[in-house]
Amino acid sequence: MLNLFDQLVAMVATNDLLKAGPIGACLIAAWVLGRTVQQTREYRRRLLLVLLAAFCTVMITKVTSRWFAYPRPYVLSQTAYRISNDQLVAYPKEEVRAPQAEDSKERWAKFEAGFISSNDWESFPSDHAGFFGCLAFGLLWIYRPIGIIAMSWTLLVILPGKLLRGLHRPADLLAGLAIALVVLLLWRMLDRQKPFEILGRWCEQQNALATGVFFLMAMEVASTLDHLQDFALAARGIVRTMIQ
Amino acid sequence: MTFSPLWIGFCLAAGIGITSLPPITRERGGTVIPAHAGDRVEILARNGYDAPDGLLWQPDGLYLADEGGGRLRKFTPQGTIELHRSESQVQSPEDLVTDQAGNLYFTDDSTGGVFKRSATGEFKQIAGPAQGLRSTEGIAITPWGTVIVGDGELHAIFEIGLEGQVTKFATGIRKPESMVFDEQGGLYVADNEDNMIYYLADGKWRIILKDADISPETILYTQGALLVTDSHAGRLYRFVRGERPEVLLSLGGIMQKIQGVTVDDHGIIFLSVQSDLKHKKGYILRLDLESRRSPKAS
Repeated sequence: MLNLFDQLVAMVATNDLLKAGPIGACLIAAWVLGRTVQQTREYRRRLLLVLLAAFCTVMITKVTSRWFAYPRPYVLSQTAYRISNDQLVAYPKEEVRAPQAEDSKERWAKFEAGFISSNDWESFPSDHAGFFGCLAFGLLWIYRPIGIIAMSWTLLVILPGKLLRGLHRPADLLAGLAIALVVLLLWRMLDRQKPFEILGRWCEQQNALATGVFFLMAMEVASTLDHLQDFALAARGIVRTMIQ
Repeated sequence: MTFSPLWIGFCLAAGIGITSLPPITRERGGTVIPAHAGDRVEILARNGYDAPDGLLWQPDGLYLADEGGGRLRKFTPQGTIELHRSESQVQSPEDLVTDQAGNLYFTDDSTGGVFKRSATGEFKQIAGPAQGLRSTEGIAITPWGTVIVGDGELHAIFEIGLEGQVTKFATGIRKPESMVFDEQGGLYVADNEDNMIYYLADGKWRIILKDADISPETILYTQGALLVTDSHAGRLYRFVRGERPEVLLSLGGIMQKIQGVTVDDHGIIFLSVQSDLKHKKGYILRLDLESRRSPKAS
């Protein structure tokens, strides 16, 4: 029974269609939802603003998590020390059950052999919570029924998987959501500003192109920015090679 | 005042969140995890080191190449002694080694210099840009008494003869960051650009480790195995030829940049960590692999 539960949790965590696909679908739905030209322009302008706010949230959560460098709960299931006032102090041990799903087993075995991935040293705040939280809050602002679906999916499906797999603590997720809310509120102030008005008009004039670009962005959201990360790594490699 | 379910949920979530908050400190977080719970790790020395790199244990203290501070230092329980302060000649000491007579040799990757500090404290440059060297990295003493140094810009290893003449020893190694001989006279070379460790024995070069995830920074031969530091991944490995490297210590956050490694005559491992270059903070860690000792031996 536990095995089946772990398989289910792992599937939601690793399958993009299950994890972030519904959020991407909500974004697409909001893009085509407007009933009047005026409403469509407003929705699209706000959607672009929400996407920018979400990317901004990810950057803030990444920088913040580097500062705290608080390892994931599963990493702290073994003896570990943190630096405090130039001394090593033992972390309180965290109880994390070894997951039974195949992909998790592999990760767990590597971890037990001492191979902790660079991503696992920083868990507070959660960038996933920040990113999906920002999109869900944004959709709530744009069109409440779609926002409720996105928020429910985020809170009931995406984020609990992070807790169950020992990847985050409640504080990580709440801090990510809080950052998302604050960033979105700040970006909302730009809603009626000229650049976004121009962007909204451009989307209207270049409907096909803008829809294509938005589709790509929604697709990237649905794949939790994996491709963008690949691009960034490849670009870094190219720059390094050029420098050498 | 009404208590809506939304407010109750919010307060509940906030309460649960607060209980799992990370420790709030004024410094950046850093984590150290020994592979075995029984192993003891502690900070032996802190601060005062801008960017500690090469580390060498000797009976009279720990010798340290402080790359960021351009200094050569000796750490003893009584305190840190400055052996050589940065002058125009020395900018960033990288790796260091001693010969049997007690002379200390070290490289400087910024100037390409190779320096000698004699047992009596006399300091002199034995090779450098004048001999064509550009960015000297790893250093070792050959079994026949000469000094060899790796050059990261020339992608080669050079030998400095007893008379001071510099000759090419080997080429085609992208960044010979660290070198060490074993008791059979075989030479190990760590290349941290191509993520490889080479082994030279009987005139033949062999790649004995090639792993995209392991970027060897410093290697040290001890008790039939290599200790390997990896500053990219923040790990210390024990590596025996033909086997998978075994992780002894994992470091994350501000502690990730593990550099030098040395061992005392009791098998205690010392490591240098470049933690915060902006605030000129470095650490020397002491790792006691207690879990490896049999109950009888301890």
